Amino acid sequence: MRDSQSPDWALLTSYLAGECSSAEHDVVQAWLGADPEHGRVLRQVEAAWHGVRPVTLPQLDTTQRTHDLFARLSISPDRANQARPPRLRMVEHRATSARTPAMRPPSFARRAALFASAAGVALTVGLAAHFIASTSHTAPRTYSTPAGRRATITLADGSSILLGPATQLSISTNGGTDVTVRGEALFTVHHQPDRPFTVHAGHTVARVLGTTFSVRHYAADRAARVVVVDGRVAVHTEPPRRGVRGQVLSANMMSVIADSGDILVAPHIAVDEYTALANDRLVFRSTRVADVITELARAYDIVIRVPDTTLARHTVTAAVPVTRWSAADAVEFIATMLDAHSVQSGRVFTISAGRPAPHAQPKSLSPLPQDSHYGR
Amino acid sequence: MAPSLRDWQHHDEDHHDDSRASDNDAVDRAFIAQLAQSDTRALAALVERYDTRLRDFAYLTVRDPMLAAEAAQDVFVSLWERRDRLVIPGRVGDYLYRAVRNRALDLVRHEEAQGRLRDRLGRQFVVEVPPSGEAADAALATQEFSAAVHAAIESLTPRVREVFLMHRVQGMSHAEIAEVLGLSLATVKSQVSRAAKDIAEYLAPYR
Repeated sequence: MRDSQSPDWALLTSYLAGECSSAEHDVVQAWLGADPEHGRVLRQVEAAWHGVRPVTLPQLDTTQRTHDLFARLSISPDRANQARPPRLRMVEHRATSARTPAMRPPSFARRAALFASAAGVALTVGLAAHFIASTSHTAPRTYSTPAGRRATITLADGSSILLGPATQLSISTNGGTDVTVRGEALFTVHHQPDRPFTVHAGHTVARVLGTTFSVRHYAADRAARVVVVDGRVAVHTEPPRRGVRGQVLSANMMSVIADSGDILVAPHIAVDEYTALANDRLVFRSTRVADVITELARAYDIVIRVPDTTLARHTVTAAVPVTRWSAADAVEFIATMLDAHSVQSGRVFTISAGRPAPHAQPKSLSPLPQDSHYGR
Repeated sequence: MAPSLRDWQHHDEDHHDDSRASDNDAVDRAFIAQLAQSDTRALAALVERYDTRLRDFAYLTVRDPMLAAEAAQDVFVSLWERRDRLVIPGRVGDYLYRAVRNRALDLVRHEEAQGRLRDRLGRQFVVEVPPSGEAADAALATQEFSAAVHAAIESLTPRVREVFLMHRVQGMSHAEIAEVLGLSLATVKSQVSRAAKDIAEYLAPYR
């Protein structure tokens, strides 16, 4: 604060938005303590900040609005109501294993894969509401991604599911939505109190209370992991274990559910590290090399060998932007962090201790252009 | 008379949920790609996702529910008619908000030229200050204070008020507002601060 008479409004608006650093917070508190009038000033502005509301407008009937729009555009009812599944466009989330820049994938946004089916996991439509109503019991529909690919599913209610690589997922609707995951998926769910949304992973059941959260349970994992970004998720084991109580997780909380049935809850986690799926990044924090290479192999659809068991026991802390780096870049990066080197043969990479032989050309993650002035 | 800091927490969380939950640009882009292939279901899906939000946003400009709904539908018409040559450099949501605001401004100009709009202008926003204290006249005092807050917001300059309402009524981030209005982030932040300062000055007699 500049002085007791002139508030720093930029700082106060950050304070109202809850975006102050602790140092800034202290400055505001000092200003508030300097004069009772300051508290009154802030409370008044806060009243405007939080008390202003939108006018309540009539609810729109989206189905009717879509119908009207199609009529206006002379789109025939037949075409508007067609129920064929849209084309599967899955070029997309594949990470390259070549170093050639021209072969690198386009940005994540352009590569957003879109899955849908005629049975309610739909790109649709004004038809969506009708569809849900008319399909109270559906057989489970199954989706899967191979290693090296991801995909997005959009449900008829607007919820979306981002599937990680090497993931199988089945969805059934029966008064609510039941999803079973083997692998990793990031959910953004539009909560409807009368239509429960439940996710099963291993022995874990996550009942969604309107939220963005990730679930992970690959076949090799000994525990399922649920991380909540927004909203709340109730987690329990399946079947229920004696003496093990379910937990309700809120934002920035993680639950690890061991196959033994133990549920551990960690509050105040950095969710970005666990939702890397959505950010095109793999984040490792003191992660064993064996686990790192499993993740990289899954993300890039490659095979990584580390014959040196001593090397395999090391840990790595790193972030790998999987869609911007080729597999060779990523493996070389991890190898360098281990003071090791990698040798590639097709899809197979071998990481060995020590630096490469002297005749090998050094690699650069960001090679300088030919006409660069640097290094001359 | 003004509420305590704690009273607002719950309201604030509610306020921002909608914009955050549906902000999935990757999915929007997939719909736009399908739209380019004349897939009517992608158009319907975009209507499903954005119609109400665009209508609500347009209402801030036109202050007439029917006209706001018309502005939103015009955006979808334009989207379909230009589907094979759409280039959306930033986020799809920002593009749609920008488009509906432009359309809303056009409609306002047209309606005003016809002399049809003035009589049906609705309130742009409402103010709900929850009661505080246990005094018998607390409700009355709150009502009076709410009216003062409403007047304070109305007294802001049009641009500062628009930025303030986009931020506080539509729950848009500073970055989103900058994108939609074509302003720098620094300008948006400065106008939000300006709104706070002007509101405080207006409310000084109530302290």
